[in-house]
Amino acid sequence: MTPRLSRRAALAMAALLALPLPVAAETAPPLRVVTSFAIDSMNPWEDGFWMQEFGQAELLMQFREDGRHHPWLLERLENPEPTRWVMTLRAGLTFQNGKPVDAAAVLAAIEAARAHSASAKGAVPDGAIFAVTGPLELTVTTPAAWPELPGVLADESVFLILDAEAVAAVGEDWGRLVGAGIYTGPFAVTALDSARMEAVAYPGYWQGPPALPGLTLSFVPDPSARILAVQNDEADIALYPPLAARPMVEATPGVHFNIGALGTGGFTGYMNLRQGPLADPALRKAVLRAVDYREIAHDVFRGGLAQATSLYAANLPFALENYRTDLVEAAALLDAAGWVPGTNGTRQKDGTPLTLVLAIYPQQPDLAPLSAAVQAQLARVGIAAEIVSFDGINRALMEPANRWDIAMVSTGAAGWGRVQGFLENYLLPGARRNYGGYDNAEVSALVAELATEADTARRTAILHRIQTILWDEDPYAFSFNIHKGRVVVNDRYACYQPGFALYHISWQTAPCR
Amino acid sequence: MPLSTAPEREGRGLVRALLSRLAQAALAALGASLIVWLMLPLAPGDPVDMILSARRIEEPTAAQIAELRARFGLDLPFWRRYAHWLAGVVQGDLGLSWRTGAPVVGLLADRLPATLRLVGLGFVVSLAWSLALALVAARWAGRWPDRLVLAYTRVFAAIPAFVLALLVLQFVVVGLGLGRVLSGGAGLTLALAALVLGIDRAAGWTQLLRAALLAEMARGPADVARARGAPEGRILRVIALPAGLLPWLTAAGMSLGGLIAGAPVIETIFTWPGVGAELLAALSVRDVPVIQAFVLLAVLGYVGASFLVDSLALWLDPRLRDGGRP
Repeated sequence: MTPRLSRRAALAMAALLALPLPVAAETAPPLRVVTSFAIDSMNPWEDGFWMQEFGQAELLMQFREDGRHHPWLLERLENPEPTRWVMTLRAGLTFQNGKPVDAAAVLAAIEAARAHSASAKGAVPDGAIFAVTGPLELTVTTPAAWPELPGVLADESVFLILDAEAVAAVGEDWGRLVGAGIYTGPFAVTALDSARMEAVAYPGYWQGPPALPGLTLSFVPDPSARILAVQNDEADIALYPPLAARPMVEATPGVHFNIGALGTGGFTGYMNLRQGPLADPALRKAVLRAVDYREIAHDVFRGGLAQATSLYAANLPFALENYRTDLVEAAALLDAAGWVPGTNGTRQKDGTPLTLVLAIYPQQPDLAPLSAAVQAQLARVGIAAEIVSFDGINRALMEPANRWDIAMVSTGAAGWGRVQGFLENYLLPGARRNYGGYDNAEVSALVAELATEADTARRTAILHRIQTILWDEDPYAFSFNIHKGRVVVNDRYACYQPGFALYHISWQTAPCR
Repeated sequence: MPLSTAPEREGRGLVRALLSRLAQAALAALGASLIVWLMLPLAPGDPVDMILSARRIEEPTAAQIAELRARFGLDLPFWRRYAHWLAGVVQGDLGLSWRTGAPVVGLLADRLPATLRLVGLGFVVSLAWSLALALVAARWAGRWPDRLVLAYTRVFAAIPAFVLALLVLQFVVVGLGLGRVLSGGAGLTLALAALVLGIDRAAGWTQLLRAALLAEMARGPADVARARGAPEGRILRVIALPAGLLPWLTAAGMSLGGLIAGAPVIETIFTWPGVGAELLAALSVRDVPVIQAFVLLAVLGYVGASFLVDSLALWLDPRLRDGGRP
């Protein structure tokens, strides 16, 4: 530890001593985590989202592995009428600095976020009004229904619940928030520098005393160094290890490569309808049926990724199970579309071979084996494929001069259970991420309806219909896989499972018994 | 008016030549910064997209994008942004990091000393290691020590520094239990990282110095010394080495910029608290002010080293003071 960190840590500890003192649990030593991204500052509007991931901050709602939103700091969230939501807080909540978390404090946090956070500004519809309607109750009224509110309240980049008064008091001298106990989570930040963050247990935590006395989060960009840190017993958990490291880790005593539950995104394919052969819907349907989703997940990535069964992860309540691999149907579709087998195994029409360009990008190393597998799978039905790598994939795909047919892009179709952003940005005509020029009038109408549709059953029906169109009628965007969390851990944390929705550390995180 | 003496004329020539080199160095730094400013917009990826994504804002609104573009000055013409940046540099202000919003000067002030320690020690290791190996190779030219050194230089010239760094972490730190993976600025980590950086650079410099020493050993002065009965070791040290040092030092100085440019990867792997990790983070989101600051730093390092080497050469060899270069 650098001397500078020690001084800051000491000052922060002193500040916390003046508050309800976090008492370290005595059951285990502090947890040591290494992660790839640095937390640049205590600025809650730009860097605060990290705090939810490592047990410092909390949200009003939580998105869990069952694909649903559950009250977190809220006791309940009710939607008595489409344009009104009522939020009721749990009783007895406090910030780590001891101040009570009541409706007024939560309203102050929400309004401060709306004033300062770009993410919050973008998430709240125009005309939305948040108001205190009871000591522990807030009411949200909107001009039109706002069905995504539960997802917005569960999204770590929108409304972290913090002591807005304490935040305002420091101006932009964010370093003063170290040790200020502005959040409600089980671990309070006591030190932050460019190399690591330290936090200690908050004994007044509302769910009970945290199982660990504290944690140290070290920022180590190099993935090999993160794994070696666990191997050398300098860390307990290494986040974001590359899948390519799995065989090496599994062959090393004392370290484990743990694969977690389903995420909410994956590698998504986008087909180019502006140019090339995929303008033909029959060919697009054939491609979808030629991809072997089971093989990708279980053979190519050995379970490191989950099998795609629809556009959405299977744990989401609105996910259909409509994906299937059917080479016979794919061949029949190609035959009917006039693509006949050629002498070299590649289909052709009017002398033109059926060759598709798969676009990948270097920032996602897993795309190399994935694209090679898809190339081999398409060859089974007579579709040749070339793989082209673009640096800066988003811009490259929108550039007409670049030739590509299927773009493979890591996408979150339902991050924190929110579906609207993906649908609007990727599927609507003229949208900024509509790479392939998709324009389906029914899909556009359904997406618009979904934005203000409050009825859960109708929302599910809309999402089912969109998934059906994208598979059976007018294919465009499809999932190759669904991502899973992964970590490297030592023997003490061999039972640790990667957190869902980036919720890595909770009050119950502890070594294995 | 009294005529100036030969030493005075030589002194004025030296000052004139040094001033000329200084002007060239300033022009080189200006040119390099302009080239980088011209090239960065051509790099793939929109910095606004990347920075919003780093803040977990994957689907930003048009207003969010426009706000950041205005804040970063991306809605201004290139020349205005460059002029603004240059005016700031002259006043010691390198702007604010797009990623963190913190002053770039403060970031450099925090982290540059650690990088300079690493690069400085790496440079010393490179010089000492290549000098020792080249002397051994030249002393026993054509024999097994020479062949061993040549084999070593070929192997290490082909191994990328980051691979060497990972091997050191795996086998020295983890395997032998020497030092820590998460350095926290520890001295042993500094030594290991500097060793990797130095050994990586030393391969090329060894080959250069060995060739220079062998050439000097085959020239007239060495033959005369041999005829007078001087031993080979003494000829190598007293006659060949002084003559061979200048081109070697020149090459080493010129490649100091490469040493600085190679440091970020080594720093990242060894978790050394220098500018490396900041630079890699900046590159990942096209944080132009931080990237520019690092480029400026590398250029100034290169130009400064070249200036020192040139000055050394001018001092050692008066024939170069009329505009020639070593």
